[in-house]
Amino acid sequence: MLDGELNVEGMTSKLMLASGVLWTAVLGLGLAGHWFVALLVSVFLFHPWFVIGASSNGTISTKLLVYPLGIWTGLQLSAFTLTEYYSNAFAGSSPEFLITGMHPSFAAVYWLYWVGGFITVTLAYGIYFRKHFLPDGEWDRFLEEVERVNAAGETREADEPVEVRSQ
Amino acid sequence: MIDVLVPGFVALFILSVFAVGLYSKRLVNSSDEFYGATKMFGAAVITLASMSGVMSAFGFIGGPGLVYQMGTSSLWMTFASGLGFAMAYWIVGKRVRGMADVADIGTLGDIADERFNSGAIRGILSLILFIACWAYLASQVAGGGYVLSVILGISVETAVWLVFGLITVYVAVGGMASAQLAGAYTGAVMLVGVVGVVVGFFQIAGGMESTTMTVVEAGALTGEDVAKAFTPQLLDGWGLAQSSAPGLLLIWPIVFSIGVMGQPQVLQRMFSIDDPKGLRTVGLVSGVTYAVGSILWLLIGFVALYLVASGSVEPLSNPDMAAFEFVERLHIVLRMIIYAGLVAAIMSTAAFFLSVASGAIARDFVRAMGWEFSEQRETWLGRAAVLVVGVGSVLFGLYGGHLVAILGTFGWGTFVSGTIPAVVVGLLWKGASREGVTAGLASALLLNVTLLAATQLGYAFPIGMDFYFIAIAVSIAVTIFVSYATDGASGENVPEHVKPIFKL
Repeated sequence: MLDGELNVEGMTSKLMLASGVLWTAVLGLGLAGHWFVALLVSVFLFHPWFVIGASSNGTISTKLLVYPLGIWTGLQLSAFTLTEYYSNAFAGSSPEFLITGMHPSFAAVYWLYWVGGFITVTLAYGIYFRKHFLPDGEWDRFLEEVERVNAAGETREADEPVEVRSQ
Repeated sequence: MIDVLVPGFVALFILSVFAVGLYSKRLVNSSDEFYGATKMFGAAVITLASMSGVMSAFGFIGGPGLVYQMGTSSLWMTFASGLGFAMAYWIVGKRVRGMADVADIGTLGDIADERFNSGAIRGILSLILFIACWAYLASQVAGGGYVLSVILGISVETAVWLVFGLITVYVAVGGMASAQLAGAYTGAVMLVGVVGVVVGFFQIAGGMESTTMTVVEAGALTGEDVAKAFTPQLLDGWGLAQSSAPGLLLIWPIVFSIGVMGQPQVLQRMFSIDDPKGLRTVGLVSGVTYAVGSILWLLIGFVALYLVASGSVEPLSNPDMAAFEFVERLHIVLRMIIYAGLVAAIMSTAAFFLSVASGAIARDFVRAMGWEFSEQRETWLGRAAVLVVGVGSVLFGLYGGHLVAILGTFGWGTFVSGTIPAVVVGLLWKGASREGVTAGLASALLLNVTLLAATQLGYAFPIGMDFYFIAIAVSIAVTIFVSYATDGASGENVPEHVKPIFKL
């Protein structure tokens, strides 16, 4: 199931539209005073751009949608929720326990959001770079395409004066 | 007794950065290389330069000061930034680097112009970049000058003219190449400085548990001039902003993660990489090295809280003194290393923005006007612009008074509101249109200026939200929605030579 590929080319415009709606929603919720809900929604701002940017030659591996994207989403949502939970649980008093020497609410930020972010978004970039992000031969294919387009452009430019004269 | 070892060591370090900057002139052969260091450097240089460009002196001084002031709230900025590097490379790394193989590019304005074939977009983008760079430079002069004067034991004016004068000279000579190379060198020194801070943290505070318990149980303390209330909320996950300005806790994780891809010091470095395979190392390692730098922000801030909570130091009247209170208690070798790292942060950031600001005028604005120069003349025009911007920003930073602090709020968020519509959305989506990006950039410019003016007139946005987030969200949404209804340079109208980018 994870060996599949998703065609991104046909859905780019929809993804960008979703991105516009999400930015508007986060701003609107924030201005309306619902900062924590807006924060939870903001987790998804990354998704549409990631799907387009991480695709290669118009497709994205479904593996990338699970790791890093899915796991990073879960980590962020858990981090924000636990931060809020323990912040409220120990509001106005010393915490009853510490996690790795930290207030439990801050430990959620540190371990789930920060360290968790590195072992998903950052580490996955290194792991999947050659296999799914920029596979061998992909850049050469791109350069050939650039050369082909430039050659076609030069041919058009060379033809144009002839066409003008013939008119 | 004045300790000459520390200022002497730091002065030697400054001269060595100057020498590295001057050396880079040998590498520059074209105006693209002068303005953008296009395809010039390997992954190691770009990794360190990216980290040092984003971690300014604010990470050493202002950041820990904010931790002292509002607890863990400000750590959201630096935690998010570390993650933002990989996000940026996932999203636009290939495509920005690819533009260097599609056309002759040296600035972000070049990319926008190639994509949209629009002088207006290049012009507005260059204006936004120039305003933000100028603001950054002036605040670096104002804040960095004070720090340099403390470390070197000389007046603020002398320190500023000396250090920023040297930066201006080497950037005028070597352009962006000097900013990149010297940035890599200073980045390496900053990493060594982090080691000194970690050692110092355990020496003074005894570790995280001891710090947490001392701070949450300290209660209210009063010094000669000022009082400081220590509450458990200082060190919970939200810090004190949760009650005073929760809007910051909403916008910081967004603006400082996704916003990394809107920073010129990250975007421009993507096309400075010589071999595209180097994108892997830079995307993977630059975030990690930045995260190591974040430890400065975290630990120096926590130590300052510990020192005051434990009664070793009286409550601070100026939170920015937190870093100095900590460093001055360390062994002289650690002090030398950490102060060199701090100066490195000031110099690398200033050099980069000096180069971008001069490129915005001498290349982007000039080309947007349709004026044409030979490659050699364009490079010399850039050198002249560096000198003018360098001297101008020093004068403004030193004597601009309150205006420097006001303009200092332009910067990170202002860059994001300009570069994401023009570069990120433009390269991600074939459907991004010339009209959409022009509208997005115009709204960014308008909102940044008017909303800042509104805050200066006393208007406060709901939940303590900062004006730049409104400008960012609106500019992105406007770009996308207007693009849906228009078709200039979008879809099949995308310039032919740019089309291969969308398959990368």
